[in-house]
Amino acid sequence: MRKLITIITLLFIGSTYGQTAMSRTIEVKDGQMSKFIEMAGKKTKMYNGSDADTQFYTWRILTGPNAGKIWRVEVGESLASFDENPYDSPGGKYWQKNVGPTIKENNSNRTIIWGRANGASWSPDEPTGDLMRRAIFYSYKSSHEEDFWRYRQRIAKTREAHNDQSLPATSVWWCGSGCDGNTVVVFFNHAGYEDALNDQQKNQALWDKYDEIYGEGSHEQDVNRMIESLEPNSQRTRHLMLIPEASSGS
Amino acid sequence: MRKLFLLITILSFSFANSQVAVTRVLDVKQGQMEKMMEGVAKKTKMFNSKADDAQWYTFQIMSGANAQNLWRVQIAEDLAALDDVDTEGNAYWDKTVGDLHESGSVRRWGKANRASYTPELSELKPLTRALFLNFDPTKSDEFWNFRVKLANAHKEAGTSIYMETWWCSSGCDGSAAVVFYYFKDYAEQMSSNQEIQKAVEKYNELYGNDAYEYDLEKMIESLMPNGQRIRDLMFLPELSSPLSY
Repeated sequence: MRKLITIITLLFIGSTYGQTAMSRTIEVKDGQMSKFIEMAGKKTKMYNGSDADTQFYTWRILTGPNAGKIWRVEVGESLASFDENPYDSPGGKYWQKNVGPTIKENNSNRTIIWGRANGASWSPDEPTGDLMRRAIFYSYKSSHEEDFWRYRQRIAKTREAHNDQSLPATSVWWCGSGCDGNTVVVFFNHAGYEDALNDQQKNQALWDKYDEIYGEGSHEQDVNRMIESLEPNSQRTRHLMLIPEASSGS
Repeated sequence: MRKLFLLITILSFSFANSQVAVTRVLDVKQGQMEKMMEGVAKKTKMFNSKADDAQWYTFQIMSGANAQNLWRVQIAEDLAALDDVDTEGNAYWDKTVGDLHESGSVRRWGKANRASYTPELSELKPLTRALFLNFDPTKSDEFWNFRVKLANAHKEAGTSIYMETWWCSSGCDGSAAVVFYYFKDYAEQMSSNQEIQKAVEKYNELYGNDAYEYDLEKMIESLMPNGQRIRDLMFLPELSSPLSY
């Protein structure tokens, strides 16, 4: 595992990219949010349907210094899905002409490319349609890569073995480009804040299963190692809410 | 090796036999990108298209905090060439595109030839993945040991991976280097796995079993906290001096 991740982060072997996403933070002009959502929705319906190479998902950022801004995420099946020049495509031109005027100057940047870590992710068999995401962003030390990923992989395997279909889907993405340091984001799906609270109350059963699989005390030990692998102050929790009318698949 | 790079990075007075580059971010004003690109293309064609003109290259930044903006790079064969100021070209630049952007950080780089490898090239590789690395100057041996051996392994294995390493001589905070990997597109980047594996095998053949993993770990240990930033760039040939191939 260590070798794999080291290669991913430092040598970026392309074939390790599975599902790929490109995200950017957008600040909408005061009073223009409804217009932004309307025009972004039109653009998405016209150019990013299920038959397109990539789909777009639009999120409202609920917490943190970017609260109130938009997080727009383009998802493709692989890195090669992004070979079309986004600034020169018909969809890109439509965006610049119709959505661009609702965006504050120089506030649609901070673009990040993410690769999905399938071995560290888990979803229930049936999609729940939950619109809220609790996102935890981490930055870990290059020298402690193994400790970080050991826990993320094991907890995903534990979820699979535990097979509690009421647990929230967990999706882990690693930053391939655009971040400072080794950045990872873990998303948890929730219907709302109350649902998130209820989900957390199911954790003890999951941790017991972890110890059953990997040995008594292993959950606590692996969590501690994972925490030690982090850069100082490098854990940020944010909440996001999907805006379906400005997203693909709506 | 250690002495060489310590001299270069700490005293920074010598670029002997090495290309130099000056880079700056061009923060383009909202809605002005098309006009900016037209202006930069025209200026470059007029003032930077002959062999003895200053050579300028332009990239669009695809990821990170400066995404969508431009990265303009001047490359010269030696440091002394930077003493020539293109008064006429600069005046034209100010007049035509000066109001369309703001200039960001300016940095000066020297090419680390021994840590670079250029395969035989038959086509343009505009997609550039840049790894900006900050390392602990007391561990520069470990950092450069890996980079030089890796370039040599690619050369000896004859891979198709196009890789250039430059070290920052001015404008950076701390000891910094950038490694560029050039690809035709993301599809080619995705398929580069086999070529990289060939270099890893050659590395171990040249420097001993498990040398690659050992040296890589040492190199990772030499990095400063959060000392690794990856950015994607797209080379824009119409806005650049002609390439030599």
